[in-house]
Amino acid sequence: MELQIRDLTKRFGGIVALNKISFTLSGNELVGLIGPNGSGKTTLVNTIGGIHDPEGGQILLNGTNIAQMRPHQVAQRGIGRTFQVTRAFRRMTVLENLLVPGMALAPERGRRAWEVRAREVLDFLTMSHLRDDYARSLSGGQQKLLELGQVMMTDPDLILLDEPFAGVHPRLMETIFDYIKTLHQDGKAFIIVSHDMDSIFTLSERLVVLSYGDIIADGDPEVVKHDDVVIEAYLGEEEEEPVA
Amino acid sequence: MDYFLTLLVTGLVMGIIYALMALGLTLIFSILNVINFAHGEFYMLGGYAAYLLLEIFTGIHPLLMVPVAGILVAVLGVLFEMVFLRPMHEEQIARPAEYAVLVTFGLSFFLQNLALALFGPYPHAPRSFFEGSLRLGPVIVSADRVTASILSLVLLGLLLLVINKTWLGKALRAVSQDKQAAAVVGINPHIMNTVAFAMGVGLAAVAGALLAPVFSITPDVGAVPAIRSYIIIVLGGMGSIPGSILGGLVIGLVESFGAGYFPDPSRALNYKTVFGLVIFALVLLFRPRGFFGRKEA
Amino acid sequence: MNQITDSLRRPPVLITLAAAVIALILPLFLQTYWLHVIIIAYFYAILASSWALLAGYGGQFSFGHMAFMAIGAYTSGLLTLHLDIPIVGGIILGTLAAGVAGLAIGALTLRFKAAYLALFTIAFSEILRTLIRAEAQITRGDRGLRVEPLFNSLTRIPEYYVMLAVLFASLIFMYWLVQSRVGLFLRAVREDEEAAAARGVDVVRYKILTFVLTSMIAGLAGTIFAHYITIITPNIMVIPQMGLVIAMAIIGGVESLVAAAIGAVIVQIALELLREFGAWRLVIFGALLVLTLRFARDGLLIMIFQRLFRTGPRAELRQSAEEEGIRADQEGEDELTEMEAPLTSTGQES
Repeated sequence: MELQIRDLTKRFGGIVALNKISFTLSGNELVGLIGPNGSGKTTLVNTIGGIHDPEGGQILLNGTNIAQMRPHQVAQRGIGRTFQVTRAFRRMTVLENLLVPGMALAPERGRRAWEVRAREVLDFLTMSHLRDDYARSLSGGQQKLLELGQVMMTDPDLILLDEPFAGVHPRLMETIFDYIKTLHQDGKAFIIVSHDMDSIFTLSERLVVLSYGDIIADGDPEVVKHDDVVIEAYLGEEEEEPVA
Repeated sequence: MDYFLTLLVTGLVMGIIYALMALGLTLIFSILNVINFAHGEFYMLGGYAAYLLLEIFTGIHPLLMVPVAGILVAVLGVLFEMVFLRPMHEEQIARPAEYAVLVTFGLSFFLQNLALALFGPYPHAPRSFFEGSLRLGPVIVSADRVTASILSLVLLGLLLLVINKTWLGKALRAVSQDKQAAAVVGINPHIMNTVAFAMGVGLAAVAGALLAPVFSITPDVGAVPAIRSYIIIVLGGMGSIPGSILGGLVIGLVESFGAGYFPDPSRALNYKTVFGLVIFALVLLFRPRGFFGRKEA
Repeated sequence: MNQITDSLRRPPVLITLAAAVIALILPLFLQTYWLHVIIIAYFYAILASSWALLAGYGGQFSFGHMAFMAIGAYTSGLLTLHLDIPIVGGIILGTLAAGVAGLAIGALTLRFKAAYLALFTIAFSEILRTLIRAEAQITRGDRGLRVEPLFNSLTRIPEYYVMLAVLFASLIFMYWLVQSRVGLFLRAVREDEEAAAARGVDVVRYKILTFVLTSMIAGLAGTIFAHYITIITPNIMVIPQMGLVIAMAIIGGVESLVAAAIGAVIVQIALELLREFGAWRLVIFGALLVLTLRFARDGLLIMIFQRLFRTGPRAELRQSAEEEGIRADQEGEDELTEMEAPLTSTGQES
C-alpha cells in the first residue's frame, strides 16, 4: 500500500485549510497526525476520504489519483475511516451495521459469507452478544468499537481514525489501543488524528504535525516532540500543551 | 400610461400585503428553522375569523376586527406549536426536519377540511372596510385594497420596530442566529419559538383578514397565498426580513403586470402560474438561499 | 432477529396471509358498488406503500408521488387514444414515462433537505397539473379525458383482480427489494448519508434508484386507474390527494410496506362507511395524521401490531433495552461508564 499526497490544497471560501500538503505513507506505517485546533487535520482526513474535493494536488493510492473520487469509491479502494463523533447506523442492528460495508464492497460474495465475516469481527471486538441489538441502544464506547468493526469488515489497507480516543473511558481507551496495535501488526497502515498526546506519542512510529494548513514537522515522535517550531505552534494555543 | 400606473400601484398595494404574510413565514423559519406548510391555512383562518367576528359583533367597524382575528389565530398557533413543535426542539423527535414538514402539512390538511366541514365550500365575505374606490390622480384602486395595504404598512412598520428596537426583537434575533448562545445569556429558546410561531401565523391571519373583503374566503383560499409565500421567501432569501419585503413587492408587481399585459385569458393565466413555479423550482435548484438569505442552518 | 425489527419490517405472516385470502375471495361477497370502493382502496394502497418505501425507508419525503401517478395515467390514456396502441402497451409506456420523470426528479433533488424536497416536489406537481389544465386541447383539461376501459364488464370483477394483482405484485417486488441489499443500503442512507458513503454505499445510485422504482410503481397504478375509471382530470393529482396518500401511509405505518397498504385500505373503507359525515371524515383523518405523527411515529397500525405481539419476556427485555438505549443517548457522555458492564462480563479486564 502506498499513499502519496502531493501538493494537496483545499480551500473553504477564502480560507486555505490545506496548503500544498505533501507526504507519503507506505506499507504499514502508523502515522500520528497532530496539530493545534483548526490546523486542518480533520480536513485532511475528509479530503483523503473523499468528502471534500481538493482544489489542487493529488492523492495517489497505489498509483491511482483518488483526489476527486467520492467517499464510497475511496472506501471501496481499501481506505476505511472513523468519525470524530461516532456515526453508526442507529436504527439498524449491530449485525446490519457490519453488513453494510461488506455488501457494498462485494455483494457477489453473498450475505451469508459477510455474516460469517461479521461474526469474526464481533468476536475480535468481544461484542458478539450485541449482534442483534440496535446500534442506538449501545453505549458510546460500544458504538465506537462498532464503527471500528465496520472499518474492519472490508479489511482495508489504510485506516483513518479521527479522534479515536476523544471522550473515551480510560479502560476502553486501552482496549482501542490494543485493537489498533493488533491491526497494525496484521499489516494495516494508519493515520490517526488525535489531541491525546500520550496515546499518540506511544502509538505512532511517525508524527506529522499540521499548523494552519501546512506540515511543520514530519518524522520520529521523539524528534518532533522537541522541535521548536512545533512547540511554538502549540504555545500559540491556549488549551493545548505539548508534552514536555 | 395610466394603465401602467394603475398596474404599478395595484402591484405595490398587493405586494405589501404579500410581504406581510411572507414575513410571517420567514420569521417562523428564522427562529424555528421550520417551513410552515400550513401558512396558507392560517391565512384562511384569519379570513374566517374576521368573517365570524363581524357576524357576531355586527355594530363594529370591520377594521377593528382585523387585529382581533390575528390575535385569535395567533393563540391557536401557540397551542399547535406547544403540542406539536416544541417536542422537536426538546430532542424528543427522531428526524425532526422531516417531522416538521409532515406535521405542518398534516395541520394544513386538517385545517382545510375543518373549514370545509364548518363553513362549507361556498365563499364567505365579511363586510367591506370602506365602500367604493379611491382616485389617486390617474389611478383607480379599490378602497378595500388600499385600506388593507395601509394597515399592512403600519403593521410592517411596527414589526420592524419591535424587531430592531425592543428587547423581544433582540431576543428573537439572538435565537435566530445561535440558539445555544441565546440560551446561555438567559433567553429561553422554547418561549421564543412559541412567540415567533404565534407572530408568524398571526401575520398570515392578518393578511387573510385584510383580503377577505376583497377576495372572499373559501376553505382552500390559502393555497395560492401559501405558494406565493414560499416563492417570496425562497427568492428573497429564507430568514431574511428585507428579502421578504422586497420579494413581496416584486411578486406583487410581477403578478399585476403579468395579468395586465397578457391578452389571452385562461391559457395565459395558467402559464403565468407555471412561469412563477418554474422560476421557483429553478431558484431552489441553483440558488436556494435566494438573494438575501443566509445558508441554511 | 429480535421482535421489534420483525414487526416493523416483516408483517406478521399470519395477518398477511389472512388478508391475502380475504382479498382473493372478496368479490364473492360484495356488490358492485363496494367492489368499486375496494378497487379504489387497492389503488391507494399501491400508492401509499410505494410512497412509504420512498419516504419511510428511503428517507425521501417527496410530494410528487401523485404527479408520477398522473404521468402514468395521462400517458397511457393519451397514447391509447391517439396512437391506437393496445392497452397493455399504454400501461408499459405509462409506467416507463413515470420512471423517466422519477429519474429526473430524483437526480435533481439529491442534495435537497426535507423542506426543500417538499417545496420542489410540490412545485413540480403543481407545474404538471397546471400544464395539463392549460393544454386542454390535448388533455381535455378539467372536462376530463376519456380513457379506453380495460374491460367492458358490468360486475367489475375482472378489474378487481387486475388491481389486486398489481397490488400483490408491487408489494412482493418492494418487499423483495427491502430484504435485499438495496433495503440495507437505503436504511443506512436514511440513517446517515455521509456515514453510508464512508462505508462504501453509492448514495447517489441508491437514492435515484428508489425514486425511479417507486415512481414507476406509482405510474403503473396510474395507468390501471385510468383504464378502470375511464375518465381522468387533473384533479387526480391535486395536493390534497397527495396529502391523503401521505396520511394513509403514516397512519398505517410509514416504515412498513404492508402496514401502509393496509392503512390505505382501511382509511378508504372508513371514508366510505362514514360517508354521511361528509367533510368531517377528512377532518378526523387529518387529526389522526397529526396525532399519529406526534404520538405514534411508527404508525397507528404498527403500534397495534406491536401491542399484540409484544407480550413475551424476550420482547420486554428488548423493549427495555431499547428504551435504555434511548435514555443513554440523551445522557450523552455519562453513559460511557456503562461500558464497564459488557467488558467485565466477558472477562476482558486488564
